[in-house]
Amino acid sequence: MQTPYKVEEWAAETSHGRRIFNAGFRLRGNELRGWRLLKSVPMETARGDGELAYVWQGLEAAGRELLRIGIAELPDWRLAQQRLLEELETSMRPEIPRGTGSLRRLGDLVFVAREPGSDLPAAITFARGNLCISVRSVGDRTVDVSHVAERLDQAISRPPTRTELARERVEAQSLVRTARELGEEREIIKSIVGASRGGWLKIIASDGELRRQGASLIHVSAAAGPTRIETFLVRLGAGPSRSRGRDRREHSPG
Amino acid sequence: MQVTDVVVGLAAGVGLDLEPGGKTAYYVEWSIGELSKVDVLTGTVSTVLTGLAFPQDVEVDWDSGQIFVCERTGPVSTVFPNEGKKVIENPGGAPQQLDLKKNGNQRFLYTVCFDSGDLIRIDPDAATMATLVSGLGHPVGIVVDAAQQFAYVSEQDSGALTQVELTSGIKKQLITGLIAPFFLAWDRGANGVFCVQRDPANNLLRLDLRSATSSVVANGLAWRPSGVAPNHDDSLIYICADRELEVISRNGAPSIKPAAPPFRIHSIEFNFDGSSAIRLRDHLAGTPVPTPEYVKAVRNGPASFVAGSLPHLKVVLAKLSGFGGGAYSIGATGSLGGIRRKTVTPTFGGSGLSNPIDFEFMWPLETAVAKPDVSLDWYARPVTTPAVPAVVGSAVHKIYVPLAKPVDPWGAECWVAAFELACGWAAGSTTLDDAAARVTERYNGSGMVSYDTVQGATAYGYQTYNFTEMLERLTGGPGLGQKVNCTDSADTVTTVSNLLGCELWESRMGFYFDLNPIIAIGFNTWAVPFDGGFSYHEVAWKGGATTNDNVFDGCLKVDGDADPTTPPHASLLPINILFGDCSTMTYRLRLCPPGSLGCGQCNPQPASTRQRRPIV
Repeated sequence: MQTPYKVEEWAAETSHGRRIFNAGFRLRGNELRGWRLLKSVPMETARGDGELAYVWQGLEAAGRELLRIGIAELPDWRLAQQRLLEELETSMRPEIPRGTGSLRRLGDLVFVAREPGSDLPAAITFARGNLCISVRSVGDRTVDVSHVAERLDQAISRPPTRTELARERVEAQSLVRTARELGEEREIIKSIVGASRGGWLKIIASDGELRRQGASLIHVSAAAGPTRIETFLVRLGAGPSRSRGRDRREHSPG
Repeated sequence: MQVTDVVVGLAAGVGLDLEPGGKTAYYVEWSIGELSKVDVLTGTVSTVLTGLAFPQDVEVDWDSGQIFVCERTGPVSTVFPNEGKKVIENPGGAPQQLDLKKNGNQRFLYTVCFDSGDLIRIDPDAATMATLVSGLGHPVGIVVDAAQQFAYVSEQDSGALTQVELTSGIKKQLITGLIAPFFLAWDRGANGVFCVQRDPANNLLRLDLRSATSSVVANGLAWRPSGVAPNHDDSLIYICADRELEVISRNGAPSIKPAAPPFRIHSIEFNFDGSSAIRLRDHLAGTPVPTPEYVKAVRNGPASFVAGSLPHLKVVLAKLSGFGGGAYSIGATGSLGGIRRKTVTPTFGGSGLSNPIDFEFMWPLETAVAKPDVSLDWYARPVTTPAVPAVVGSAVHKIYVPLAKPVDPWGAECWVAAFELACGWAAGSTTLDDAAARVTERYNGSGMVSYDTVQGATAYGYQTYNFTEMLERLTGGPGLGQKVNCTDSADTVTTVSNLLGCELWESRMGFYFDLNPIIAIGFNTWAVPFDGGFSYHEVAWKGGATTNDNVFDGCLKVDGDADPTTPPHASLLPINILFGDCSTMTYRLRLCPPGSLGCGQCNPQPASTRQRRPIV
């Protein structure tokens, strides 16, 4: 099956995401104001990496609004982009467009499908670091999913704010590794599973690439010299901070 | 009028004959081929003869004690109790009611034959037979007047009571509009006849021969009554129904003391080692349906058997204080004909439970998809002495009936919830194509899912198919949302159909082809999705999923008229239609326009995509 997607260009576009790694990122039900988490369902993907599909129900439209959020955690950003391609190629729409406007900034790569007629962004799929995330409106009534996608992208790609650090049970660590040459690999975490046990582990490096290799997290240097690597362990029981407004824009059919 | 049970637990009771003194009656049970005798004052039953072939009626010469029976297979015979029978004549044609008439030493047995429509007279002493009248419309009941001038016959075709002059053969319909009129009996003064009406009426009429009018004697008879026998003054009228022998009384009938049960049904196991039952699983609990499926006061799980099969079951009895040892005749009546009666000598261990005893359904299951609630009312009676049958248990069992053994993705265990859906959607289907067609229709029209017009994304899995979530969605829950695409639809049609024994595949066509206007699932308007086409499309496909194989597409409706490219459009849900090529009007040209970007790009892709996704 030929593809209309310019996969060969995707790597060149990816810079930030190469140095972001998330392990154990889970939605716990308190992330989206105005929505209730109904369930999370494991889904099997081509390589067996797995994905969790979360189903959320809007609280204000008598169950007519549903969100399906798929979060796939891969070993590295390249595989996350392959997963993104799978997502696109298992869709019947021949060519799903890239995000435009403010949505262009979502993820390392973002594809946005809009509802015919209303032009609402009702399905957003993006890769950020080693995660591939899809957010789709799957209820009877279509909703704009862009704010939800933006919130998720922020959660996985930025360090916690001071407020979040103060409010959440976050353990922050920082280390500096110094590489002698480009491409030098160093084990940063011996056991990702062990390190992320009981929480969600977010790692952001100042340069280079992060990837899982076996049980370990490896940093690959982009150049000789120091790299700052920040690690945040968000303990379960505390979720990402809530926004003040609703995490959605309502759409009423015209 | 009061209706009271005399004998319970009959296996399709049909004809009966009551002695003039009103104490003893004989009756036949069609399903198990038994002739029995009952003391109608006490309800005690004894078996007279077994091994008959679908006996229809019994007639007794009460002066000589000679017993006659007729069987559905054709013969009219003399019965020698507990020994056998001797065929007098074999009129064939499915003889029904018998009426014995005597004139001095001359005896004649009259009967009518359901299949042939003949009225037959048999001389049982000379063993000769004459066809007096032909052309009756599926006759069943017959009575002949004392002078043997006229016969009165109930005809199923016309729902009539017909008078037949025996010498000339002239027929005259006296009363019409009867509902499934069955056997007949003279009333006390021979001015009218009692006529049993089967379901849905299930009542007894008196048909007045002088005025040609009918009146109801009693409504609310037991289901499917057949035989009727009044006593000398019509104060007690005995009715032999499908499962009971009962009596209609004006002033009350003799009270029959129910028998104390010697044991009760403790458990029933359908899916035992060596059983033909399909193994079932509770997919949400992740556990097999426990066996025995039925344990009294503990659980009552479902079972599944392929259509047309004869289910066997293992029954464990629990001894009660009324148990006296010896052999018992045990069986059950029920909604599918019950359980074939058999003689058992139960032995009980220290726990008071018997070993599992094998029984079988009375009849094979119908050859159609179904999910019946099968009622079983169990009875037992000692066989060595006349006795009253005792009620020993009662339960209703859910049985799922696919047309054939489930096919992949179904493995060794099939989901109860999936059967509940599939057998409901395809109920009544007698062929695999019909079953798949109904599944496609019901899925497309379910109202629970609609096409993802935004992205056409696969929602329920493309590596494995999350049928657990789809089941939840289709039965009113959220599932993984309302939006589906062609893969989800192909998965559903294939998975549900294959549970019923179909052999469909999920397979794709493509890639990147233009479309004609379609109606996507959950919509009612014609549209071309995504501004022109599909990257791929996936359907439930037969055979090798090639151009020469038929498809079932639950995802969309195509235009079924001569030109699908332009309005007006006539919606057609693609059910078992040929995929085809680009030169004839088949599924392919209905889905895509002619040309290199449409039909030319829409090619079957079985080599890389034909599969039956595993379900989770």
